[in-house]
Amino acid sequence: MKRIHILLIFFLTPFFLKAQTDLVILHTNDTHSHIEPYKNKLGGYEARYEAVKQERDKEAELLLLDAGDFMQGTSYFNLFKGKVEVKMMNKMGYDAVSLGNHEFDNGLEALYKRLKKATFPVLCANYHFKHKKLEKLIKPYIVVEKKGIKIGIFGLLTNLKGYNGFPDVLNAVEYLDPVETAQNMVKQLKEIEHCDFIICLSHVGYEQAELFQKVFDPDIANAAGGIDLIIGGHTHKLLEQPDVVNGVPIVQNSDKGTMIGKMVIHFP
Amino acid sequence: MKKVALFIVIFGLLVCGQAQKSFTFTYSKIMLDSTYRNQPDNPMVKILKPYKKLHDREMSIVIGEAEEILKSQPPQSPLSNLCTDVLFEATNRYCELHQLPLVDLSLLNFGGIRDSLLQGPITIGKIYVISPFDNYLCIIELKGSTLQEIFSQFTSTRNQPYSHAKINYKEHKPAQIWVNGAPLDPNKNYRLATVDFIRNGGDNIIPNSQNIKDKNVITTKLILRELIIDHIKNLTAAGMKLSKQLDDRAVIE
Repeated sequence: MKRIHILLIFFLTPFFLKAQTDLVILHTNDTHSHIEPYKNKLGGYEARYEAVKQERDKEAELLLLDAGDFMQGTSYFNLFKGKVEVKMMNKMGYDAVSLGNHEFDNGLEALYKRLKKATFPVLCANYHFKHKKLEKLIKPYIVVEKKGIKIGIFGLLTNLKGYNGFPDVLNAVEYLDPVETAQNMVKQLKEIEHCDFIICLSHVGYEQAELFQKVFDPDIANAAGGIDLIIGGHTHKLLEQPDVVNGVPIVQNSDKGTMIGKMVIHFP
Repeated sequence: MKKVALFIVIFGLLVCGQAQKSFTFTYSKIMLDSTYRNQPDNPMVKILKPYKKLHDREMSIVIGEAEEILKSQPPQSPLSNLCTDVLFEATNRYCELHQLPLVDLSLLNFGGIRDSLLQGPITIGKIYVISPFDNYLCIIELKGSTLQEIFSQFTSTRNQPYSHAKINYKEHKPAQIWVNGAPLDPNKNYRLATVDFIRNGGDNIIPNSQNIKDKNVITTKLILRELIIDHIKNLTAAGMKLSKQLDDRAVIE
């Protein structure tokens, strides 16, 4: 009889202590100033807002993230210099956005002017900027709490060399190795910030797209143990389902903001 | 026995703690189709309204007409030829105005020409779709050997658009190269019209672009897209439409 009691305690304890928690993460990437629907069909900020709203109605504590390159690609960007994108992304309620290479298209000062209007955190851990205000504005990582889970999010950006045509940008930035940066970030977020879940918000790309970039999201998953999820961008790689590398799901949408990726993490 | 029970409960707690680290997931895509539009209380519509009005007024202006579809693709195509020809001519007008020596050839990147030009009326908005980047014209003085390096990376299926140069491809590789009517001379200096993006190493078209000295470069305030718009406006003013013309700048033997 006693034995049965013991067994019951043994098997039931986990259930009483922790009910299953679901964390909903919505992600976008490479929306490239597509304010209006692409070819009048898919995407646009109006549709994106409504879809996020419907998800929020089901799950108030969701996480909304963008993996960069929200600038450049339509005449809205040429005419209004990114003002409309930032205004709309503010209202959308992004929890964090990582920097893409096209964010630098009109130089560092233009980037600063746009981003100082942003109410969402902008992340990039593997660059230093010789632009004091920008260096202060861009954070390597943030820590947010959703549904009692402490989540650490850090940003990564591809090598701008050979990609960005503005010499003042290349002279005023210092690129750090993404793998080493990711390892340092994991250490910081685990040991100092005591996060339960670590997300790498990456604009490094899923696979080779240009000459100078040598590491990609799968390399980061392999080399930086401790990351729980890589949300990618840059290579416009449509991954219908996550590519799991070294136990880490890697996700990415195509471009132009035609879709939102929805990741539901089930914690036991 | 109680001790054992306590031990097992602690063990259970540990297992639970461990399980916290592993997780499973469910993943899906939300396609943002029209069912998400025209819903009540969407603040995006209000934010966009004043910008859209200004934007649409500018973009809907018709500047010309295309007789047929003009595509952009290697090794040469009507639209990429048009863009590089406009670049060549506009740069030489700039040179004449500023009493500079004329350029020998022009070079662009296929990555910078983002779409085809469809048959029918051409709006300013369409030119923005084709050429969305604010690319500034620039002139580079470089050695023929550097030009040769640039062209030697080309194949008949993977090259970049150019004007006033001619390449004959044999088995996909450049076999003979002419610049402005004469065979490419590695020892001669050439003046190349291009855009700042390429000058600064964009798309890795110029090998070791950082070695090009600033004294050998003139960067203008002219934006390629605006020159394309002006060119089409001029054609229209002369009663002409854009047509699909190819020439012998890329010959596959």
